[in-house]
Amino acid sequence: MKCSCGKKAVFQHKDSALCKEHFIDYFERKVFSTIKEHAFFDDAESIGVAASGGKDSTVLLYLVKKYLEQSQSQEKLAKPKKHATLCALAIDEGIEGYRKKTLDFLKAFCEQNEISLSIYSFKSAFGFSLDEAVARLQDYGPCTICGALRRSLINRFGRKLDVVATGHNLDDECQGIIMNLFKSNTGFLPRLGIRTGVVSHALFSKRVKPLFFCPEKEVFLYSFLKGFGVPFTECPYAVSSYRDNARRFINSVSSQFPGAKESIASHFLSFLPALRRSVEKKQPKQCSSCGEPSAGSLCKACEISLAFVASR
Amino acid sequence: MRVFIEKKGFEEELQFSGSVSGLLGLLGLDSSEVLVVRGSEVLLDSDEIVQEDKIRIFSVISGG
Repeated sequence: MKCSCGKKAVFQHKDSALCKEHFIDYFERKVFSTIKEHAFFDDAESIGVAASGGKDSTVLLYLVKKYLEQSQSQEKLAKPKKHATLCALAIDEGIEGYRKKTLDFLKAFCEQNEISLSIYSFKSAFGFSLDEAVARLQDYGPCTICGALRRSLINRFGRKLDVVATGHNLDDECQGIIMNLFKSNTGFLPRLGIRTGVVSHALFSKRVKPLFFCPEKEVFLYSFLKGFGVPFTECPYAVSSYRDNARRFINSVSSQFPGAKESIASHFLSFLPALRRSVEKKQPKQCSSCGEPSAGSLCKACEISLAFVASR
Repeated sequence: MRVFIEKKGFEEELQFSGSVSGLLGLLGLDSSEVLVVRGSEVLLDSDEIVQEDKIRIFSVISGG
């Protein structure tokens, strides 16, 4: 199959086929227009990217840096403040044989691209690694523990910045929507979307998702074609997760109905404002233990920390 | 045909000629979860591959 320019296509979606150069251009335009249309970085002075050393956050880091550089010279791009700073925030959960490899890659990538990097670990923040927590806390799934602690740290350190971009791609978003529907967690749905959060509050970091409209395969293809050399890794806990089942289900549907993921995400976004209006906008409480935002008197991260201490 | 499947971490020898989608079907892989490469050439599902090709199959799902 050929691109309209006559070169061999490396990408096909519905009736469209693109060669390497045109795919790269298409992908970058898609991400940049998402940033611009949703005013992610308008007037921002400090921008963080939640990075793991995986393909999504590596692509995001590269493109946010490129966007910032181009926005200073191109009128058509929305402008962050002049000299806006970019930094990468990484979390070391403490997963043996997995995280070190990706963090080593991330350190080298940030050094090469002159991006400052801050790494925060579960061990130093909470006193235990994810591996230790999983071994002792049978009542919590690995992804529940990891998600709660990661969100807490990203929020805590991301709050110091004007905005934090995360590498959630289209597949991640569809999985989040479907999982919450299947589990009847409809109360969580308003928290999803291209710009997270139902209420604005000084305790919440502002989080945005520039890869929201990019399928996982497109992100990988971009990373591959750009030669980033992101190492192959797969979280050892991912195989047992509910998300893994949701991924298989959505991919199965999507292979029969191309464009299904885009439809799920765009329709979700279209009714998200109504969904958010329909929920009671409660201002967050502060966790009685750590002072972080919390739905109850104790935040999930502290609840898990206390359960870990009690399990000794 | 020699096929390296990154996720499994080893190379397999297969008797196969046909389309990329045919190969993925044979291996039980979902096209939306992998990228198929011959040398440095990214292949589409409809591309034809032959017995002499060396194929690498990358998982697009990673991270966590």
